[in-house]
Amino acid sequence: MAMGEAFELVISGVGGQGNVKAAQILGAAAVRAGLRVRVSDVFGIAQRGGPVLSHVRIGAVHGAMVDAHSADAVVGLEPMEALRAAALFLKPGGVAIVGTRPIYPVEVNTGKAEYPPLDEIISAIKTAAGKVIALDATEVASSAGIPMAANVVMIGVLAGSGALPFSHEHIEQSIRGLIPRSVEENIRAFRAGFKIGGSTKKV
Amino acid sequence: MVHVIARDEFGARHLLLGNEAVARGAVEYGVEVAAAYPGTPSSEIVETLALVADEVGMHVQWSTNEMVAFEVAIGGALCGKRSLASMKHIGANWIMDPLMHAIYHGFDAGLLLISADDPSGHSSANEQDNRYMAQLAEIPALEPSDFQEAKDYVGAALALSEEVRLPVMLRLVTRICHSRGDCTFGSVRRERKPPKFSDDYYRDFVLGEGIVGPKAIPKMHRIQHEKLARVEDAAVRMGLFSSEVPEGDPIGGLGIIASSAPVGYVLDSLESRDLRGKVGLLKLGLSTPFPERTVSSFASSFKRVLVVEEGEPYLERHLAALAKGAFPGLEIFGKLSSHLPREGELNFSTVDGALASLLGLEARSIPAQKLSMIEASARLVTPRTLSMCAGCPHRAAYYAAKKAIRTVANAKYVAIGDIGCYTLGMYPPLRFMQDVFCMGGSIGVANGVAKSGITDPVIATIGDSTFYHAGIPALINATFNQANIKVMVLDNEVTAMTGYQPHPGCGETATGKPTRKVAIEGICRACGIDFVRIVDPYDFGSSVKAMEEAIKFEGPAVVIFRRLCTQEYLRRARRQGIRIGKYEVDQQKCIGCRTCVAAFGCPAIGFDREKKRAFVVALDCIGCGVCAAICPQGAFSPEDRKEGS
Repeated sequence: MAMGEAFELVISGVGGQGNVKAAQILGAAAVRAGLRVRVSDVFGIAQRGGPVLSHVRIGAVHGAMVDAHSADAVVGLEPMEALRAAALFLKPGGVAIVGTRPIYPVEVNTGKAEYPPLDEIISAIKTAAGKVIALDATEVASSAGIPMAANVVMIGVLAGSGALPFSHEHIEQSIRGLIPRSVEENIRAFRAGFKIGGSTKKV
Repeated sequence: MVHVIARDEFGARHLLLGNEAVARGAVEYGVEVAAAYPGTPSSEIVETLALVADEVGMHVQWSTNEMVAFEVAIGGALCGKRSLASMKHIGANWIMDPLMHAIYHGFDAGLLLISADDPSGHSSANEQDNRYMAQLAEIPALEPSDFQEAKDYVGAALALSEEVRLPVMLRLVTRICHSRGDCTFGSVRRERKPPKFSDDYYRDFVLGEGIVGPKAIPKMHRIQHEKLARVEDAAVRMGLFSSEVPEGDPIGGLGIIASSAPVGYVLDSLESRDLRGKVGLLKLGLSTPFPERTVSSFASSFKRVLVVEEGEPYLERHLAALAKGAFPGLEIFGKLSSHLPREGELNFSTVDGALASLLGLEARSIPAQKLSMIEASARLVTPRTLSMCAGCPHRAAYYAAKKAIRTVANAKYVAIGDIGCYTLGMYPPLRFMQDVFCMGGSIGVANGVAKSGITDPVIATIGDSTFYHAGIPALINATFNQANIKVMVLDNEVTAMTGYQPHPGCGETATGKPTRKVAIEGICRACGIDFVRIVDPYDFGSSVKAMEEAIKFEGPAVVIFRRLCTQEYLRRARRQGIRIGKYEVDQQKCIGCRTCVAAFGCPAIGFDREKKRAFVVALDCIGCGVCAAICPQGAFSPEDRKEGS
């Protein structure tokens, strides 16, 4: 990222998945890297279960919200929320990172609606994304010893994909500063994600 | 480890939530008394201050309601302590009485009123613009436009308050409060003076004539106007305005006047179109009193002005009034001209679109490459509606009340709700309350419904924190005027919706110190209510019975449904390592009647459309067991105690 440019990211998920923390870790990492940062979280009034969006803007930016179709990357912690956010925010040719483990909305649990098939979600995102990385982040986090840290795995994948304008050390420092417990497990989760992000080919 | 906002790190740069930046400002600029009632998007200001109160030597409290919070701040300022009260925009409605009494008064120490407005009503019932409240009260209102200013303007507001001896409003909006940005720290003012109660009232207003009363009022009012007239100069000195006027002819003869969060959208738009420095820009950090000289001097360089502000066209109307005399040829654009939307918050697109249209530039459109993804998303993505949490005690209470009403009142009733998580009881599948108004409005409005000739049971549902906040006077009224209302107090022992803040029933203050609990049942009895029952909403049978008896009782009755908020319970269980038992569905007993999913609606219960059987989502189940009580077939049972195992 050259001076005068911006990196824009939207993280989407469901209340309780750690959206806000993931955005905060990246924002704090950007501050450590000496960059200007704006982070904004958008959610409803329910404590849990509603869709949550976090906007992260880094570099030569002022407002805190990513504009429609301008995100360099979309990180979807949940597949349907990944598509919802990518359709709204992803820039054509941008990077999409999709957590494949669904969280069913009440409408699906009660049989009023059907959850879309994962392959249709992924192929819909591929129609305009330059790169899509889909993974079961909870499984990766579990093997790192902390199933809760799927959000940290996902930002690891993003960092590994080379999309971010700062180094992984800044992110690791920011994880150490912001996560109070099980720090080493979180660092492991981040590194596992980083490796996955680095090994994926462009689709 | 001490919270970042209390650190003595002059020059350090940190990522802060807007509300944390405001809290940091309070620490840096020596606020000694801070009070609030929680309300989104304001809550994190006092929540963060509570974490550092002892460290920095500040009194920080959650007050019973906003009015008390503001009165506490008045008390602090009267004793020479810089003081603040923070609240959401609608919460500020509660303080009008003390505010209107504080305006003619003078205070030696800064008195700061923080109003967190919520354009678009993300977490609110309306979009009121509290700059009009500042105008009504004739007090200055400052509007920070980013995270640095969110901190710095706390200092400016306190200094201004002391200089002109008026309370000052800091008007925030959701995108400042609930966004994060980088903020560079200043030094922390640590010196503390002993408190000194000073009778400023006489010093400022009686003017040696020794009279207080009707004759003095216009004089007091005149002094307030003299104080207001000094505000703009002070604001200029404090750097609350900044302007960019192009050296040559501005493109399109255009200047922009902006305040608050939209300043960021304006800058993004100008920079993305390479227009920065080619059109004019005036950023107003003070909107009330309208800074006429600053605006006049800017407007004189332009033929056309676009006003970009969050909320009502407040600055735009003031500019129109100013231009009428001073710049009759000036064209003014904004919300009144429909270049910007009148309702909902602004964003980059709306601001960029207005700018493009005024300059004859191409508007942004949806990229063609995105169309098939957008189409697929519309086809595939399902809604994710809000619901009360799995195991929420409110759901159980409503379900019990519905059963009681079916049994003793032919399912006919009127129920008025109140403000809290439990407001969700209005929505499907419960649809319990038919209407909702303001804080405490459930009991107050139910008083009127009961006196209007309605013969069905009249029910008010109100949460614990809301009961303390505003329910009590209306409950006394029910006794006083013998209104036959049935009050359901949904007591989950915490202020849940805004983030689990303690209230007077919790036995703990904002800073975690033990305090005496004020019992709701004791209040109810003291208010003259003869029927007061306390039930556990997880005990479904007792809950139904208590509601049936309350409905049959002649006169006002209260049933307190007491059970800790599920989220708070889960947090404590995690901390204490308590294992949470789950329930499961006996697939033989379940007949697929869908009562549990379609009428009760706990999100931890799913329904398999192929097998036509209910199932428990084990990850979400908290083991409350209410499903076992409401299932007509008795198909739910605890996992580890199932029959035959």
